[in-house]
Amino acid sequence: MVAVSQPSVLAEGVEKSFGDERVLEGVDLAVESGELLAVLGPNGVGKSVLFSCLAGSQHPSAGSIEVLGEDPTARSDTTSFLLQDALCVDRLTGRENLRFYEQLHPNFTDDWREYVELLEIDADLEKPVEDYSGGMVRKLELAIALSIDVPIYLLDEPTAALDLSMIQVVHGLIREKQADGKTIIVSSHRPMDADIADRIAFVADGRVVTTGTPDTLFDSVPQVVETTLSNSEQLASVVVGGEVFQGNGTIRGFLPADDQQPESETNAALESNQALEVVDPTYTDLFNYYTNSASNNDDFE
Amino acid sequence: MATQTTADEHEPGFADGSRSRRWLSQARAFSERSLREVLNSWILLGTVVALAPGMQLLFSMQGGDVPETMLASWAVGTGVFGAVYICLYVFGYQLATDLEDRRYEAYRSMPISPSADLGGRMFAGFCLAAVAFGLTLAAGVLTGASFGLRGPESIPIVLGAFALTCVFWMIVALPFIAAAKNERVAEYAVPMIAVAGYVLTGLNGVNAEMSPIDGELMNYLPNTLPTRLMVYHLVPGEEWVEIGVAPPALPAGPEYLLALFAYAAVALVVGTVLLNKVLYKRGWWP
Repeated sequence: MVAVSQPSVLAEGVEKSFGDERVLEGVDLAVESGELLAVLGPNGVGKSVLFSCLAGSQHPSAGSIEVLGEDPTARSDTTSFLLQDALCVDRLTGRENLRFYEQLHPNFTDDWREYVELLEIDADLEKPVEDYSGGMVRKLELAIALSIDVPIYLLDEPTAALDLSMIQVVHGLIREKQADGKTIIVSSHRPMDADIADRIAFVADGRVVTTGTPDTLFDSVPQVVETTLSNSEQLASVVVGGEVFQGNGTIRGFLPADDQQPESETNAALESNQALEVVDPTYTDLFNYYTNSASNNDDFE
Repeated sequence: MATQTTADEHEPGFADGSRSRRWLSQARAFSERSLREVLNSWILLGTVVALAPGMQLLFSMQGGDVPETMLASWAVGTGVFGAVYICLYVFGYQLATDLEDRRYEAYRSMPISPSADLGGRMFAGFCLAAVAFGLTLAAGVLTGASFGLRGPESIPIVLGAFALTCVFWMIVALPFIAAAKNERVAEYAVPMIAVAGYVLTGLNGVNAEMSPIDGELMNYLPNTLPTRLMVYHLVPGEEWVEIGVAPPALPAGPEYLLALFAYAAVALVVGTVLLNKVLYKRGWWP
């Protein structure tokens, strides 16, 4: 008899509409126990709504969700849900907010003491949250969400409004949770958050367009070509769909796959444009390929 | 109900503590949070708690030879106004900010008892309303009002009537907030219900001739009934007609307390259903 492992989180055909607006359009997603999944996608594609459904905060309009084998709207002790700018009460101090959730959630732990130090807000706990910056609010919300001892963490944009050094700290905290055997689902529109993931799911237009390990996803991305901003026309003439993406002071695009254009033609195009350089794909390229491009242009599929 | 039971059986936190301990902790969380929100802002505290006592002091500055019992009945009417205003404002405003900030999305993902949420918020509202009511009576005493208990039974009757009034008026805020989901509505429009009631019913029924409402109805409206009941038990004397409280005769019998109890019970049922179904999306009843 073969043992079949049940995913910690399983979403099948999940749809969610608000009035006439369809936000999720048939999301399928499975997350294994102990896995760290990064759900990446641009702003406004439905990541937060998906997380809300997974946390049991919203009922899907169609489809089904199981969290540890049960409907999350019927059982609310299995997940800790970090929402953007929703947890903290502005008129309370940081410490009063922590106390509120400590009394509210039966699984709230003392770990917040360690988290507020690591996130460098321990000196600001006596200030009202309405005087906090966006980043400080985010840190306090993280300290609250991570202090709840549950099997699954749903972290919606945990690094939003944080500086680069603090993002590394947050990544460290998330990895620590994973090492403790927790299942973690992180949403982000920052490609750098993919760094910590075992697997990535890209969301575009209300559906999961692809999932896979970073290696698998990198393997399936076409060659990336880069040039300076002044050569955008040359770049557009050789890349898929003529679509170029802003890089760090450069612009980039994807070369056609071999089945779309013979390699000899691609090489000829590159040789005639010395300013174009084939480079290794980055997480930003993955992000652009699977979200912007895949949802907008059939040439990429 | 079945759903909640299933959830509770699985919740690891309950191995260490009883459900009642968890309920109390959660109710305390909402109470403390509500009180701290008000106490952290002197402007907010002053606005909600000092409004009615300030109005009572202003009345006394109008001069004239006002009988002590009339000042006392005004103080009761204005004190009930202060309590109702706080119930609508504090309960409604805090609920509205939770809705507008999407905090209920977070609450729904947690094992929170909706009745603990409601109970905790109501206890905080009751405490603040009691302070405002007490300060208004004190302002009445300062301005020459004379109070006295009609009998030993007056203490539980007044306390009960006050508590039931607070329960009713806090729940009145709930449907408005649940429908509008807007802080501004909670802050400005909902408390206006208290103001309108106070003005249209002649200081909540203590100055009957100022009100366009006549007759026995004054003994049944949810703002005038408790006010007039408390006036009967807190203001010594029988010259009700002279001081403008009567007609109609003051509601002295137990049936009036029962009517008040019925208002609060209906409000509580409606409030519980709204909280469970609309805010926590967990069915009609806990």
